[in-house]
Amino acid sequence: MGFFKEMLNNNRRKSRPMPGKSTLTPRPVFPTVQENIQYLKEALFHTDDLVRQKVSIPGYTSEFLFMYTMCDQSKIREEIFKPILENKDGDLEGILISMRANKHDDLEKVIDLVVKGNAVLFIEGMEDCFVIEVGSSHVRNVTEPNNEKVVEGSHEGFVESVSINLQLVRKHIENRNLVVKRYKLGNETKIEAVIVYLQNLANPELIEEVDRRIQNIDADNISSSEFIEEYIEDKTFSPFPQLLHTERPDRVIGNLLEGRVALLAEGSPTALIMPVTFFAFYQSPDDYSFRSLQGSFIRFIRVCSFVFAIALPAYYIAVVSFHYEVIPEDLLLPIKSSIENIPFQPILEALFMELTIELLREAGIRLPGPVGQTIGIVGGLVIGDAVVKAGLVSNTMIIVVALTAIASFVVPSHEMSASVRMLRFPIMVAASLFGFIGIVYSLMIILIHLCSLESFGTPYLAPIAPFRWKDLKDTIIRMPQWALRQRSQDPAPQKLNQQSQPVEEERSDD
Amino acid sequence: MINVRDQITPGQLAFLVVQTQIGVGLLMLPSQVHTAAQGDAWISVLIAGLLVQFFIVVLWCLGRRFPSLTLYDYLPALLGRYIGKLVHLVYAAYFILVSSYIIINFAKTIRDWVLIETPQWIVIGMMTSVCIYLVRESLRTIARFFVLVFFCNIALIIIVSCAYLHVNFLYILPVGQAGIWKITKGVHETMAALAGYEILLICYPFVKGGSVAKIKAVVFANIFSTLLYAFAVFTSLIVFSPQELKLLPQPLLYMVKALGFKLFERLDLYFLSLWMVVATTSAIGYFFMASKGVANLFRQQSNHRKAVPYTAALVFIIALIIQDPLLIDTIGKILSITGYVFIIGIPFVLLMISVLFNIHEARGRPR
Repeated sequence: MGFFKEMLNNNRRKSRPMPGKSTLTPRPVFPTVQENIQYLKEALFHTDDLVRQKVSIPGYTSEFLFMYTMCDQSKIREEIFKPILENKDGDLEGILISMRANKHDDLEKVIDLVVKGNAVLFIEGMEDCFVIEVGSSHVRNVTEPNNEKVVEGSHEGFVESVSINLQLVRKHIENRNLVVKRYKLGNETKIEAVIVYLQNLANPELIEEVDRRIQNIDADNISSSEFIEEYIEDKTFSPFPQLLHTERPDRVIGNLLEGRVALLAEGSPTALIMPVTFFAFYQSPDDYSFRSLQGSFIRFIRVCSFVFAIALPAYYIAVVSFHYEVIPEDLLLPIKSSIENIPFQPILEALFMELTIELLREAGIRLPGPVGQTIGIVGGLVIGDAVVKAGLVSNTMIIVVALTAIASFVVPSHEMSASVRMLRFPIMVAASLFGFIGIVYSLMIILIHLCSLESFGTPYLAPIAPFRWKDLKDTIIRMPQWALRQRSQDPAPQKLNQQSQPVEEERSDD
Repeated sequence: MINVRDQITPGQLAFLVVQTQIGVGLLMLPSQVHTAAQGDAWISVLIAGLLVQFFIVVLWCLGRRFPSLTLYDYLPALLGRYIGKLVHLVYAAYFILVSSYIIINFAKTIRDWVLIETPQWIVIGMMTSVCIYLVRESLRTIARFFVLVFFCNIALIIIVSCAYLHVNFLYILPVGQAGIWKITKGVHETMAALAGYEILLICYPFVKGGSVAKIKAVVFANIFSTLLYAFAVFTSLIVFSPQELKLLPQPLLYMVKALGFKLFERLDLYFLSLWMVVATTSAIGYFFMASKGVANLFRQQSNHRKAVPYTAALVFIIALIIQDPLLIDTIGKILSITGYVFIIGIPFVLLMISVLFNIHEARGRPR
């Protein structure tokens, strides 16, 4: 039991001692260039991409060392050789200044810097060495993320570099309260991860909790933000995602302004937002760029799609196998004639079609663009048509499955879409065993689970359970911007009011 | 002493009470009360609701004297160690029996209306497992769930309202036809269906806020339940003639069965699906009280979660044993009479003892 308990609770629950960060003893710089270079080469195990090169600074014997795989040749020319050539008769001080070199006296630190893509300059007889930044960087352009397209609004998307992502966020929140906290994660990978929040909004307890969970990660391989998710979420074995993934800066900014925390990490364009509620997964930046009525309409349809995606096939199975008396009279004959000749039970039909759609989806992703589309058409039209003609699946089942698939792809978040698609299978099985009773029971279990789920201490199903009337204004519908006077309560922000009372002014419509 | 994570708001208390009150009784009540009080059944329901308000005040007065203790905690202080333990045990047994009774009745209705061939133990097992799944969470989660499924009651009201297309108000006339004695008998029938407010005895210390807010919440909850029951009974009375009502065990279901729209046929199946949720929450309420009782039986102030598996096993086994329709009837009668003892009798005696001997909670401990 204890083992399962630990497994289900994520071992983070117990406050473990901080993982022992191995601290290396500082190693002072040797007096001769030769000794220094030898030490570095030993420390890096004579890796072949480490290159040494002599430079002639008048009056000094000097040599520099860099990893050519991590450095930019033109930068080396620009930053190292050019200053020396230009200052032929100048003093060493001047040369170093124009090199923009940093003084270091600990060789261990210098080794880490060399691995990162810096060049290190040793000068005979000096007690310090000089580190010059010549790293090459390849950064993708800031483009609109493919998986989170919007019709209107900003088309910026995050890239794989934390510093650029942070810049994208800061550009839109010019505020001294925006705080960035850095972490080095992964004992071997040592990637940079940051959490971002607004000091005057985010709840200090929340920050503390997030900080504690991140500090407690003790793993060798953390190579992107998605890796971190499973270490810090509340219940890993819940079918529902408890952190919101997004590649859109505007989504991150919107959430920061509600008092939430965003986590960004080097190597992935995905930001994780915490804490989130169930309904956050059904919000899209589009709702805010449209006007309130249209935004509300679209969002309402999206939330309804959750119910459709999760229960429609189960409802159909229950109706045709248990409660055919529910079908209206005029529909009875068409449905009966289409089901009559199918040799399988409805549940088998449904499972077959649902799994086919899952296969098509997966195949469409893996194949290159144009081929993926072809697969979609071949799968959707040809197989769908042929399967009915062959008498394997009924017409109505195809309609139900197709509607369900569309409904499950409406969710603006991929993780939620995946969990919805997964959850409908148990409900389908329950419906085929017990009819409506089975559906109601499995939905009740899901609701109970949602009620008990928490994301970083805030209830997952807020503002419906616990019921907060005031927060409903931006949940299933979106009230006009000026009516959203207060932030939603679920992340427990320090400041609830976000705008002053709208001025009552006479507005005539004529 | 009370865990912060277990605390609920007065609003949540109201929903807790409503959902525990409204349960399996909803379907049976109209015909039961009608047998006793005929055309004046709706008056019986309203009077019963009024009576319950007084009972609630008694329970509240008792709870107010021990603001951070549950019934199980102050029983020994008021009745002495041994009698207190005995009464505690009897209470736990009563709540377990009520949970079983709800589950049995539920399974019976499901068998009669939907799953005719499915063995009883499967439906009973399903119901029990859902109860376990929720009750092992904190009281706060239970309350959240109850608030969430409150919409089922509203949906039930809407479905029943559709029956007003075919009503005959003459069936309830003349008002007062049954006479006072028969109306009183009807009140007795209703009391069992309205039971559930005794959750106040257990939940009182878990509710945040002052005692006035608490009584307000419970009173409003009882008003809602009474009105819902009265509405159900009244609608049945004016839809079916007295002769028809005698033959129908679940008038509400027969009533919505006849309704039909172009898109939805057989509304009774949808009605039953919604009613299932309501019945389950009622069972969960009693389940919570029972497991709290079982947990405290062995250790004071312990959490109800640890006792859930044992309580569930007991409830499940009792529900399996009691299958004979006559036995179910007898148990129903016993429960409706002993209900008075447990819900009002013992609490009233406790209140008297507490007032006469001036025993109340001081600094978190019973004196």
